[in-house]
Amino acid sequence: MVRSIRWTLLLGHSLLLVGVISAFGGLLYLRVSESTMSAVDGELTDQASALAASMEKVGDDRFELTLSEAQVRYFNATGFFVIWSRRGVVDFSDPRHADLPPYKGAPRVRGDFRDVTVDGPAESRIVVGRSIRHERERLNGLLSLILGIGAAVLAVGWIGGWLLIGRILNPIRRISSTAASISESNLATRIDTAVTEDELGDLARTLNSAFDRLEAAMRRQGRFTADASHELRTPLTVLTTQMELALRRERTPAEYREVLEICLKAVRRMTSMTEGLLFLARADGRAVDLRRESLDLKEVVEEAVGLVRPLAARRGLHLSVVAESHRMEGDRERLGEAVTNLVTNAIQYNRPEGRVEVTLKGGVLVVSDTGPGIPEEDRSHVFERFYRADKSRSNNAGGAGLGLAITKSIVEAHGGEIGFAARAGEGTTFRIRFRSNGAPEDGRPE
Amino acid sequence: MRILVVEDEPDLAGALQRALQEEGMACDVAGDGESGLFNAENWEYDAIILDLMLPRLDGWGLLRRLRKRKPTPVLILTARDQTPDKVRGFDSGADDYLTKPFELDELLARLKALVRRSAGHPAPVIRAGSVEIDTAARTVRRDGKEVPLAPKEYALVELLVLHRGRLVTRTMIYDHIYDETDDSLSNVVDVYVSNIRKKLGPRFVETRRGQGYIVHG
Repeated sequence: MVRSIRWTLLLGHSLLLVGVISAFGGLLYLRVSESTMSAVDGELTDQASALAASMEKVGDDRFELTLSEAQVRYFNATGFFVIWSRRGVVDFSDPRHADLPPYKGAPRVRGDFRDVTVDGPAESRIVVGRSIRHERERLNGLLSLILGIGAAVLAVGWIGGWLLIGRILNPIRRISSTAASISESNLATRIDTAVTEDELGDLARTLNSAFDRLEAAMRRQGRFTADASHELRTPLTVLTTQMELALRRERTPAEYREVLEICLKAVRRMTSMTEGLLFLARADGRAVDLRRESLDLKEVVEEAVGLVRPLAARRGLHLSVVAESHRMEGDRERLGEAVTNLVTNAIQYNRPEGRVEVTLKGGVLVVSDTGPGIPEEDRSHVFERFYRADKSRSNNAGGAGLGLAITKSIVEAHGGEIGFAARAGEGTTFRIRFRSNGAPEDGRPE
Repeated sequence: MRILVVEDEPDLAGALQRALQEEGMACDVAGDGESGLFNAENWEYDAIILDLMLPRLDGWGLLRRLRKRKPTPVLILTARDQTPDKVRGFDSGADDYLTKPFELDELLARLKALVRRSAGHPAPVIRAGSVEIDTAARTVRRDGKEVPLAPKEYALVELLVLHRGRLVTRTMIYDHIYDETDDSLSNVVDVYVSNIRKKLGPRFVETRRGQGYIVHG
């Protein structure tokens, strides 16, 4: 890949150089050759005009030509001329051009010669020409020079380009080798952004932040696995240890009964957690099957609160419900579970003699408690599976830490939103907003 | 032998305590890290069974703080089976690591081995004169014949033999063979000692009046 980028860049770079060199060299050549030729033309025209001036008409179609010494030298050394009267050739300086027909118009080129034509006196025509082999040689020399310099510039540009592209690609190669070395077991490595500058620094930073997110996801995954295995192993350990102990010797029926009760409790705990995990797995795959029916959320809330009221009473908490009727489509059982989870949490994480308030108004369900709130560092993890602010994972408070994750999934499967406000020491308020009958709500901010 | 179990799952802690007591060991239970640390620092345990995920103070933290003051052998008993957790456990000062779910027999065997090693007797069978104590099978032989002992009597013999050649004070005896669930009178120890003398010979245990007891190797 690196190789192909290098070659593509180099090819583009070379084409550009060739283009610039040809345009520049071509223009230069054209300008020089044009100006050389126009100088030649000027010289020839001057000579022709001088010839016209030195023609003296001595009769009908007869002229007398008196050449100065300079003219004689010029026509002997370089040029030639041919003069026609109306009737034909009158005079010429070089027999090789005697057959030249008269013409009118722009200067013209015949082989090595270039000539111009001017009107002489009494409708005569004068053509003056000379060899331009010398000019042509000079122009060819210029062309070779241009080509030589062009080739040299191209070579330097090509080598420079090769090195520059290499310099650009080196950090990319470093970045890619670092990226390649980052694996599941080595997620902490990062690309050194100090040595790569500018746009590549941006790339490195972008990649690093992607690696950060990957690492965080892996860490979450690892924590989930550790938590899940802990949560499953704890009741499993209770089961095996209790049973092993019971079987070590003969026990009284009362002792067997006690062991069976403890084991049953552990099995129930595992069952409830397994069901929770299955529900969440289905929710992840968007395969939650809700038994949708038209219901009044008020009834669901009041029923759920009724179920946990004894728990609140045992803890000496004041539990109040104020609910307005709110019709919606939904799964009665799941919604009840969501409300029960929230209210149970509010009861369990509360202070003695505290209050739990449940209100349902305009499709917004609010459950607030007077508990210790949620510490700052835990807030972003509240809905994570198995996450508990109380790190002990003791089952004193019941549940495996799946309740809020399940509640969130249920609410979202119903097209609702869940959020919370919590300040350490000032209690926690969970807020669920449902849309009535699946229609979007009026978008009132919280 | 007195063991501290620091475990927040009451149904498991209860089973462990019961199992250890049935093995003739004394066992206290702490349900969270802080009370576990308090117990561990204030009593002379022969070994500690420590869970890692504990309320208030986790197992690693407990261990690090305990190790500043005491060398009590610690066996970590946890559901966390990842190598980094184990490494962190050993680095915090643990002596052994067992993952849940575990087998009771293995736990007991590891525990006994741990206590033996920390007392300086890696071999499970310890000899004191004509008496032979198998700490793995928890049996005592005199001249090759097995002598039946009550659990507390065995515990006392084991304590004395593990410290043989050294004085074992009455406080040490109370610390190591009784737990918080026992409520016994101090002269019970004298009863045990006289029973042991009857079973293992009058000169097996020497009484140092006002100080304690000693078994000579």
